[in-house]
Amino acid sequence: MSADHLLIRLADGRTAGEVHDEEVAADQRLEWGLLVKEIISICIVVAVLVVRHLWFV
Amino acid sequence: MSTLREVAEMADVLGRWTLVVLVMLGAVPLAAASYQFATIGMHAFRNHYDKVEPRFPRVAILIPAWNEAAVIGMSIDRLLELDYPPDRLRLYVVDDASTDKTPDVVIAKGKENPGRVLHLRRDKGGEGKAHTLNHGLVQILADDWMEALLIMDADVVYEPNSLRKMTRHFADPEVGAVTAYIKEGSRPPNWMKRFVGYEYITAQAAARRSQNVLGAMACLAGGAQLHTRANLEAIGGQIDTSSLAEDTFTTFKTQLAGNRVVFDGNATVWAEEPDNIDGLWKQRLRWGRGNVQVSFRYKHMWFRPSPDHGLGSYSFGLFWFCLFLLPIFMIVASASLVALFFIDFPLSWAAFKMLWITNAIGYIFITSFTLMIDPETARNTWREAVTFPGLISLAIIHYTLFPRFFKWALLEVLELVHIPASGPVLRSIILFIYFWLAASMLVAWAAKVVESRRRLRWLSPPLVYISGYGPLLCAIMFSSHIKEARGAEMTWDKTEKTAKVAMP
Repeated sequence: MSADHLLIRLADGRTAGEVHDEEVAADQRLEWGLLVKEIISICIVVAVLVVRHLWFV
Repeated sequence: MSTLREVAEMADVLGRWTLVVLVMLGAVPLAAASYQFATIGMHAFRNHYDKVEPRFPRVAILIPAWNEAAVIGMSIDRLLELDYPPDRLRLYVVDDASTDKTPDVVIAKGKENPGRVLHLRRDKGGEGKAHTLNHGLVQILADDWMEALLIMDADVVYEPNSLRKMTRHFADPEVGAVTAYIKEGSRPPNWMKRFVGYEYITAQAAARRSQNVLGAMACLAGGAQLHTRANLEAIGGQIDTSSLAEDTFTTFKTQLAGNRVVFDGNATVWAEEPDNIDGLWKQRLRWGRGNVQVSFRYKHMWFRPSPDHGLGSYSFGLFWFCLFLLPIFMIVASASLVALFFIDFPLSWAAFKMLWITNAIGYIFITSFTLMIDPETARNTWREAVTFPGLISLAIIHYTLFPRFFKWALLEVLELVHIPASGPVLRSIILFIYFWLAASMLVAWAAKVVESRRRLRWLSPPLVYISGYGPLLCAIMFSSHIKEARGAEMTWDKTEKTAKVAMP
């Protein structure tokens, strides 16, 4: 396994190096997105508890 | 006399509070799961993407196949279409003495693709997946061509870039094995497959990201585990045949040998899962019993942090045993609530509210987050996500969150069915909801029983929606404990495959 793997041509004709950079950037973006989604979920929990406290107890 | 009375009073108070603690055990699994989900956000920082580079080792794909004629041809075609250099890919199909047309299909594919598709035949079959894999491993390791080995199931369909996304992690020499995100891919999915589809977001896309963060992986998915040759040699070049959880044993051995195991949630593969309770019960009983075996085999490892691996960490142990002991926690919590009901009703009511508020918070957090983790799957499975704990538990969650509204609704319903909202009726309802945590497993088990009766089969899905898919899994786990305690014979019940998997 060596660095010449960067030059291997993939199905769409591009080199593995080009495709790799794009894929890793997209995958990393998705992971950042999960962090945001987790914060949204925590906000949903807090909102439900506030609504409960204000109107439903 | 007064001293005796004081001692008796102290024992009484101690007994009541012990029961409260036991009730709160019922909240531990969901609280632990919430903690596990809370670590997923950290995956943005603590993933393995900073160490990946394009890597294309020579990969031998090992496919165990027993009577897989319906799916094996399609699987081979899909694998040959992977976006991976063709000269670096070989398929080894280990035919486990199939009695259908599996050998014919594989041999025909071998003739179409000489040197790329190889048929290996076992004369004696039915001993389990581990034996079948070992038959292939011996031959693959005897040749030095293979640099990495992908173990998969015959029905699994890989997305074209998934293998490449897995091999890129081998740029880091510390990595010994990589696993991918397995999604339920049957089209169209029935109610059971939708439950499994949702469950797999929680158990794989979510839980395995958390395990990446903790640095301890519970299990390499059986349908997608990629090993370096060095790792396979480090764990002895063979798969454990003494248990029903060979995947978990391989995963643990890899990490105990000092190699890292990585989950890539963006490498996706599709698999066909059981479409009824019987199929699910057999599959999960095997997994559950395997996990019981793993728990005992590695009893000296739990809750003993080590600098070499994360399996002994407190967090990993907590997650592992919360799943492992979940049915026990549910039964103990229910029984304690019922006992408190007769001993000290106000205290039982306070404990009940504390238990279910904790569970409600966990449920909202986990469900909302899970649906957002994989929106594509969530579009098909949101109903199953909402009803995962069961309709009755959902009603209890609603009551604990919005008691005023629920009381009004309950009184309306009682009036509608002409039942007076008297003390005995309300006490019966309270006793029922106290008992429900344990009873839900009984109802889930009843769903399995009626599924096997031709005339009552239609009742099975509604019973699962009422009792919950979660309690169904708990009932299976409970059955696993009983079977292991009894030393029941280990049987390999293969999931029936029908070639319904399709990538969207």
